[in-house]
Amino acid sequence: MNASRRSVVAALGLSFAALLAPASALAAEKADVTVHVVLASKKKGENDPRLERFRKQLGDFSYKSYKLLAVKRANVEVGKSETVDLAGGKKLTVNFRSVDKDGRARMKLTIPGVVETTVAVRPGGDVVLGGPAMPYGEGVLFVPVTLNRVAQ
Amino acid sequence: MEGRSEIEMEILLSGYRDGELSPGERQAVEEALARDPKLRARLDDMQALDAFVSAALEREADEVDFSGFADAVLERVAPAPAVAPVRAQPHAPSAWARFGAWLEEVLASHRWQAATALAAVVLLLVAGPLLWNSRRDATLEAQGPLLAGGPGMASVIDVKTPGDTDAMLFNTASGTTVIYVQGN
Repeated sequence: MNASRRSVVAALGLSFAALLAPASALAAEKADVTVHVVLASKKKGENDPRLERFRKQLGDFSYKSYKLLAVKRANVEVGKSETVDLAGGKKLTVNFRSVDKDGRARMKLTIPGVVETTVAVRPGGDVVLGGPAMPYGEGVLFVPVTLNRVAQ
Repeated sequence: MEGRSEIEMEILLSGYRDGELSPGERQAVEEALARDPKLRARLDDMQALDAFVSAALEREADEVDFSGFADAVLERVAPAPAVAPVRAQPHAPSAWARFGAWLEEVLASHRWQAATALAAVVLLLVAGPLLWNSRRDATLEAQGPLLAGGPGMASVIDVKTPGDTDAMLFNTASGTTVIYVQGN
């Protein structure tokens, strides 16, 4: 193998290494978040079977029907924010701040004009934002925010 | 020793002290020493200085531990053990060398195919994650049950609301945290 061909081989090898290395070395942590947009109404109506668990958990709020309006997913890099549209012009901004020592993801959730909160959530855990301050149609909006996982 | 300079006299005295002069020079120096007390005193000074330096050097030598010196020298000059002749072993090329040879052969004979394969690999590495993520977004509706979290899965650090709204925190029976926001 002459010198020029050795150089080509070495360059190709390094190119492969350069292509593969950054994916693991430079990847930042990301919070994989699912946002459900639920319309809760005190009028009787059909209940989405996917919301059965939600209906049981929010039984204390005396809503009669629940409708899933949208499901959004966001991958938020640590230190950054993602904004998702809810309904009626409302938006939710998820700012992924850090991962606590116990593995909880610390996130700031903001619905402008409604609420701004900082929560610490374990993967698989969720927090619900909503209520009468977010009227929509004949009901109000609830926004369950679920942290699916934190990954690189 | 009349007519000689001081430097010449120093050299002669030094030679006399060290026994380096010819018999004629030696005799001439001894005659001069007998006549000149200053020259005699100069010779005495030189001999005293020699004695002092010798004594000092001997003291220094006495303080040095030369035990084992001879052994150390002998060890260093000992002949090296004979080296048995080594028969040349057949050299097996490394995996990297074999890869290089294979790649060289591929590049030489299938240049365009190799370039196409390389481009495909790069495309897969760059575009694959994007395609995978967009695919995941398209299948969101097929997710599992809502509010699967249990007690202790989430905690609220702080809550702020604008002046015309108020927030209350609830924990549902299964532990889900609800931030219930009401308008005033």
